[in-house]
Amino acid sequence: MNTRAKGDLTIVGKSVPRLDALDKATGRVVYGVDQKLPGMLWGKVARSQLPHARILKVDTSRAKVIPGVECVITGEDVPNRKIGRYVSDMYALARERVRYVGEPLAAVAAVDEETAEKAVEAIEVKYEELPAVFDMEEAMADSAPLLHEETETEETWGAWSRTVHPLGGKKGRNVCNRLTVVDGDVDAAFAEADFVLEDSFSTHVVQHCHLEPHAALASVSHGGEITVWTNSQRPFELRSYLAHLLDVPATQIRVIGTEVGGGFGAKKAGWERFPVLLALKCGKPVKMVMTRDEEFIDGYTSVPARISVKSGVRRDGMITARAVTMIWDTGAYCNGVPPSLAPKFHAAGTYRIPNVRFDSLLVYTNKVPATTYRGIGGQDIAWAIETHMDDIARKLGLDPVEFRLKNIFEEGSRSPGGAILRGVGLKECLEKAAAALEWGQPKAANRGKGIACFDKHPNPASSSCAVVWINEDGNVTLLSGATEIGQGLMTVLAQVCAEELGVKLESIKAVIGDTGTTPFDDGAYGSRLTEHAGNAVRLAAKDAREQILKAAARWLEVSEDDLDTKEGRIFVKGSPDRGISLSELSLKLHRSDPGPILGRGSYFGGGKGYSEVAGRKEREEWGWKYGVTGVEVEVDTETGAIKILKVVSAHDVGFAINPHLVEGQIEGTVVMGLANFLLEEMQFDGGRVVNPTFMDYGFPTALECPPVVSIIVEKHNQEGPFGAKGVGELPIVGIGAALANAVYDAVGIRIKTSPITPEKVLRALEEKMGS
Amino acid sequence: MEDFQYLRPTTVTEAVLLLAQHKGKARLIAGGQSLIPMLRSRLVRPAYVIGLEAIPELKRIEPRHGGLRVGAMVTHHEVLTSPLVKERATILSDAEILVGSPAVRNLGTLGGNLCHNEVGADPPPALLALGASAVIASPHGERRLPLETFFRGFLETALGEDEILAYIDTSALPSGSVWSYLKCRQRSVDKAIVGVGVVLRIEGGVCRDVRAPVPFRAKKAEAAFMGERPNDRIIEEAAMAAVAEAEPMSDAHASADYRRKMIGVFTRRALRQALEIKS
Amino acid sequence: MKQSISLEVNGESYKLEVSPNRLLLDVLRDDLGLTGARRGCEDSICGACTVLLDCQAVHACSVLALRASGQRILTIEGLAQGGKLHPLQEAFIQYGAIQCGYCTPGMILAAKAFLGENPHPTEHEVRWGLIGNLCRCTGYMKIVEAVLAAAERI
Repeated sequence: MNTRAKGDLTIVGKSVPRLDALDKATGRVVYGVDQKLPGMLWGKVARSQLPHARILKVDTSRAKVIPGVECVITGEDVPNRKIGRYVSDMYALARERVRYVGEPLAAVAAVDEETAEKAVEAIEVKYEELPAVFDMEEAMADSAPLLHEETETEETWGAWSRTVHPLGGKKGRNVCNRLTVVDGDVDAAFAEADFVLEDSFSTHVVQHCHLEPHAALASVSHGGEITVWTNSQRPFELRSYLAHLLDVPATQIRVIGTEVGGGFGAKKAGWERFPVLLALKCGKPVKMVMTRDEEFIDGYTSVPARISVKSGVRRDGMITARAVTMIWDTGAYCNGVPPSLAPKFHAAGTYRIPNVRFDSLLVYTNKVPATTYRGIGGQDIAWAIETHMDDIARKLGLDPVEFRLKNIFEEGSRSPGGAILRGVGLKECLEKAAAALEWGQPKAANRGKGIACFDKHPNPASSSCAVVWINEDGNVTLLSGATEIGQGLMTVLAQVCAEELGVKLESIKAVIGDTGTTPFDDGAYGSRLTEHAGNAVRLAAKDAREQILKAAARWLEVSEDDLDTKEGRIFVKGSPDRGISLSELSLKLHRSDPGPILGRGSYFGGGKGYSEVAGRKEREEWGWKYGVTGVEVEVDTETGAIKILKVVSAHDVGFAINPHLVEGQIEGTVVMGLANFLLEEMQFDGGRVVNPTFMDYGFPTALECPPVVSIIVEKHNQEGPFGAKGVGELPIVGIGAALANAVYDAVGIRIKTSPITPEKVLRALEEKMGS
Repeated sequence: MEDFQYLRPTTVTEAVLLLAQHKGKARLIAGGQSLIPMLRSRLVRPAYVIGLEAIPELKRIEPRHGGLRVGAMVTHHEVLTSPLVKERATILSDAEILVGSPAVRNLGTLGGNLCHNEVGADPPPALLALGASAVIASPHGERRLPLETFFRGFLETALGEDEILAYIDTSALPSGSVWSYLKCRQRSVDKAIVGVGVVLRIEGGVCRDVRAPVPFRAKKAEAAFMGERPNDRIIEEAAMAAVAEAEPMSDAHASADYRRKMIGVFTRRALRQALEIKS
Repeated sequence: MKQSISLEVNGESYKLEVSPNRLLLDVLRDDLGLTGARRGCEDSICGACTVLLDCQAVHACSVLALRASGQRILTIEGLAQGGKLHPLQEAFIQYGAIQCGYCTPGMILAAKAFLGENPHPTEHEVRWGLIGNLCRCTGYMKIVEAVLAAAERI
């Protein structure tokens, strides 16, 4: 993949300003919320007020007669086909049953938002209330109400639930998904260990809180072609999802990605089906935008977990065995699969442990569905594992950093599941983070430092495509199906393209995320785009460059090997005056053989981490992402409040294509995690979200967020463009555990149930004083 | 939001007559920072909205008997940047800077804040500590209420349906007064979990406290302080007395139990800060 | 019953007929096509709708349009003058203070109003000045750096 030495690179590796910054700074971009069409209607959804009930009747008669209401649909009007991201367990609008407060059971299209809201209020629903269950462990009891009858049998579920090795027989009551990973023999190892330590932890529910709400505008042509403008993270995936729902060919649907005001894993749950179904019903364009409380009530959430860890340790500080049991709560529908599968890779933490066993269960409860949340469960696992690691260290009398260094993954280490890890910058991250935190220095009273190590598995198996077209003026159009969700993707792709082609960055125009005009890309999730889309772009640029060199060689009557490209010029190496500009060459090629230059790149990658575990096939794995976060705190022992004195976060990104953008990701992601674990918590009462506003949900302002010292480590990733790896999620993973460890270091109390609130700290301090 | 008719009186008399005329169907709008979200979520659906922005006498801050008269329509920003307030009622400036965010302070008014009487609002404890009173206008004239009786309950004040809070009067602070307003909160934009305002003079003092749901004067805490030389024991007694008098509630931000504890902590801290006792 | 209002927005005067219940934010976006101010919440807390009203930062989602009549309004579209960016816009671009960009217009305008009253702020003061503008992407660090840098240039 490498065509240039690192020293020759002039565009990648540089902190160039974002390509979209000017438009964003002048208010010129068009987000999903800004999209409009003449004659468009406004859509609104009517929602269940009960957590679990049979729907006896949905009476829309009063709604339909309100002036300005164009159509009203219910579960009876939508295809009788179950849909779902990983397991098909829901209808497009609730039929027969509702399973959470806020579940959509009807939708309305009207001339304006106000009328649509009135129509929603006018819809009357008769329910037969059913017993509900809100706690994941209670949901697994035999007496618990059953949310989905089909979980009783194995057969009706989709591929996901089958490939994850259920423990033979039934998965369990309200258990949607079950995963077991076994490597070595933990029981034997526990028996032989010098120390065995066990503990339990739990995490809470948070919300993505992307500042721009979900927004979509759907329009249907006379021929039945559907166009959806949406701020989705995955336009192509949405297209398939809608095609499956409507039973039409995918190409009958065009999904046009708008500018996205933040996603973080939320904007890919198929919400667009509502404006689409309404548009189909009434034959006019329909726009929908979620309100902020709708985002909390039905924008889907993170997946909370209860995690137990048991470790066997040798006297010399080597961990010999680890068993981890995880129960994840996916709410009423099964969008929460990926976090519950993530344990396959890193439930034991970033350590060389020869004997492991992971049991991961995903359980239904009558609450708003959970979905992929930035970090997909890595932070919940780290909360348990990294806290547990500190506890082991202290019991053994070892320094927490030294203990980790003893056991940590290194280049060539074997991970549970038999992967030989390559491109492992973890040790360097730990050493640099500890140094930046001034680890080991004497500290003042009520002050403490904590550290956490973590990783993220390689990208999911997925494809990306790109096309590079040289226009007749020598400027470059880069087509990619990928999505910009604020992470700087478009700029990164342009940098990769410009570097590989040998043109100026300004000459690249990137067109992205439109299923009608750009080639396939699986979308923005799993931190995959830098690598996958980046590789596709690099392939396309390479292909284009070969065509450029071939044509230029003919024109200049030299061999291709004698030529090089730089800043939009093709020239003879050593005689730079002998050459031709790309604009001149391209213009000629538009009018002569072999025609314009068009480079293509098609890339499939990732998925290695998902392959079978039991087979223990030894294989190299690049592309794991590694990081270490450290924090220093001061605890106010009268109020329990925690003051952040310093945060450092070190990340192995392989190669930073744009260091400034990487820093921005680290800073923003660490802070999001910090807020998650200190300030934010979705609170429920009888399945109802009681704090569905920014007023009552602790979203941080600038004053609550400390500066972050971001440390970039570059351990070349063979499988990424120029050695790069993605970094959009990793920095959120360790901060919670680092905070818990710092609080322990400061005042000797262990908070095991997140978030770390002042009340919990105060109560723990009181208990400690009392005992 | 639902449609309504907007009325814009230019005098207090006109305003109260309009209120009386449309009794039960009208809402007053001051800065709109509380009312507009309520209108948008259709929590209230008045047929008439009466704006007070065109009544000049409600927008002044004036010296009065050594203290102040603040018009109900004065914005938080105007209060906290007023040299007169800084001079005669510094504790109010100190509380006002903690209200909401700059944008909210630019439009939100002191009067609107007091009339909404939200849990954890900042101005009430500071004003109670100043011994402020509310001047209320109605078609029958004006009446004055000590501020502690103005606040009735959760989101409830003593205002009748045809009454407007017109002014907030504070009296002169005796020389040698010290003060402190402290706010216990998680985020900068949050209302107070507990907000404590203290104004006192050595050898006699007045101690005020506030907690949800109704701001109150911690009279027992005051009594613990009156006539005593301040020391750690007295401060502790006052703090505990404030805790005993309080009836805090639980909500998404904090439990009643935590609020109770914080009343103790913050009363102690506010007293110390006012007395500049190093702890 | 609609009322006649006159709004001065970005130096231009507009005469409009609006119902009393129209919010300034919606009039700017829907009637005048100025979509830089946007909605992110219903509680006047996120600040994505921030505009300047007579040089003061306000949340346009919590202002009745008729109340803004006769006042000078500045939106993000009016900040750059004659094609020249305001130092805040330049600094935001240069310092990487923009990611998804949704909070950016409101944040820049709030910063402008803040620097108008506090021309030489400390970092802490900048953070205080921006508590009315939420951002999920950046963690605020580069935003604060950009505002401090812009303060030097204004």
